[in-house]
Amino acid sequence: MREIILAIETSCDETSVAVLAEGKQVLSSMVASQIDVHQAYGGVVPEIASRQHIEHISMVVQEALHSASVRREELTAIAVTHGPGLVGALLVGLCYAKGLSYALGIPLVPVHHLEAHIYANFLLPEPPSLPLCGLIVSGGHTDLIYMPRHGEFQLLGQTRDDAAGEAFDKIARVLLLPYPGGPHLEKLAAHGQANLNFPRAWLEPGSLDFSFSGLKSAVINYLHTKKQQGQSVVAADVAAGFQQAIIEVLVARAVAAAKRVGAVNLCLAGGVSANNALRQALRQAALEQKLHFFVPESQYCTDNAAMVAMSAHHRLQAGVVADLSLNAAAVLPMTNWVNDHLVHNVVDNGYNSGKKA
Amino acid sequence: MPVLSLDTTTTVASVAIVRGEAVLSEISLGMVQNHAARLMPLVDVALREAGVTLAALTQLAVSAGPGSFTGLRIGLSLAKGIAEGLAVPLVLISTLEVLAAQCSLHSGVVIPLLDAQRQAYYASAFRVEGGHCVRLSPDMVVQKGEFATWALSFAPRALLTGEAAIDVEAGPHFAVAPNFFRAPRASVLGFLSQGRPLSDPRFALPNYIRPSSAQPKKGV
Ligand SMILES: [Zn+2]
Repeated sequence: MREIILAIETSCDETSVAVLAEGKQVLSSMVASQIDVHQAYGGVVPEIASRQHIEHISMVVQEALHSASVRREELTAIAVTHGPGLVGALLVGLCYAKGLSYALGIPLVPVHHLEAHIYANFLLPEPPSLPLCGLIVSGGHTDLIYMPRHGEFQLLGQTRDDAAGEAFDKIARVLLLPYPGGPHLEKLAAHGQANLNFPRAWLEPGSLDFSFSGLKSAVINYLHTKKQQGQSVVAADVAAGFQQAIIEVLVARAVAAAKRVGAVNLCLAGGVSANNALRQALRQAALEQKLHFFVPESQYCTDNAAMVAMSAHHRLQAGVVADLSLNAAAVLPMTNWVNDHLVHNVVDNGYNSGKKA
Repeated sequence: MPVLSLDTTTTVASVAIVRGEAVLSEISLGMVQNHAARLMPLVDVALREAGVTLAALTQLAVSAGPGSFTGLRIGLSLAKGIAEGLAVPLVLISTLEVLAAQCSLHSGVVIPLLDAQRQAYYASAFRVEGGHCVRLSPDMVVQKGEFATWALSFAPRALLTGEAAIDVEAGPHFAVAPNFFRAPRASVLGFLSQGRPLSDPRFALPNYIRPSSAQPKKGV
């Protein structure tokens, strides 16, 4: 039977649904963004995000199926992000997915959101081979992951304070850029000179961790001082200097991590990987270090369900499926599922094979 | 024509299968902290114990609210998923109406109350006569300080039910329903849903009554 996975992702402010065939072909990938709704609040409001998800989920599922030309009855598994993320938002996708998989009598595959970001790289026409080293940069995370094989993840380093994307958003705010700040800051930085030398936090020797709060404070202090002295600042230069400082640390750490674990494949993932300056800098560094560099197409960098489907495809190959009591979790460590004997298949052919003849 | 009904709008998770006048199965769990984890297994057990297959279901019934925002989304999201998977319609029923119907033996005004936080109740008033409930008010948010005046506008004496009913002191104006009537039961929801207008599950939405408390930022 042809494997066709429908994946649902509602961990933050995008209601996304995708259909993936045979772990290769993305038949459809739909994203209903709530950016307009949250803009007025200057950030994602969890209760509003949850309300938007339940309002849109059915239609996004329907569009994904329609645009994939797939009928519900043809689906062989449902995948869903169960964490980490906003719990109220996750619960909508999770409960809907549970109901749908139960009604269709097909397995439910639980997917970790950050793992899915790494798996976005496997949506490339030429996916990376393993082992790989992954740098996940988003609004909530800055993680360096070593992945020796499918289903095995080792955390090599992470941020000790702000996530890179969070720092982007905060600096965008003090520069009075519109929400969401990251992309606007990147645009502004493109017009500036990175001639302001903001600090880079390298931490103790050998560390693969990150720290961006010092950089953030330095930028804010710089702006305050200039304002108090009645001097004008070139916002584009501030943006460029700040971005340069972040990118420099991210690139150096990612390359160092790959070298340390001896991985020749370096993957960038997460919402901030849509940042072109970061992509280019990491590509260049990888080239110099003779590493193979991978980054998802930009539509698969930000939150999307295609990456969830790809992750689910590999979990399904290993027989990893959820039981009926799957719950959502705001905080969820990445776990190694490759030899996880705790998971078990609960789908049987009795009462939950609801397919109508 | 078996109906699967479920309610997770309060601290109780209740699931039932009813058919006509019969309760085929009903399971209620009290003091539930994690509705999302508990609900699906309850549905599975309720179906098995009722000896009803999913394919036999002709409709689902779910509490539309009011109640816990997260709780009602858990119930409705799960119901949508099942209903869309089976291609059957949904019926949405007010949680407060279910609570009122559970007091149909009473004669007079019944007021179900749920905690709406921030010093308020979700409430509505029903006149119960001969086993039938007639709605006297929409489901609404009533400030605790204004509750007595609001309730007395329907009748000089009312029976209070629902999780928040014990908040109000019984006296000349108010009697409080016994505790075993105060939690919404899915079987009652299922019975009420029979013959009601059917909803397309894709467009079914919770009745929060209250907007989100977030305030838009100025100048953003
Ligand atoms: Zn993400």
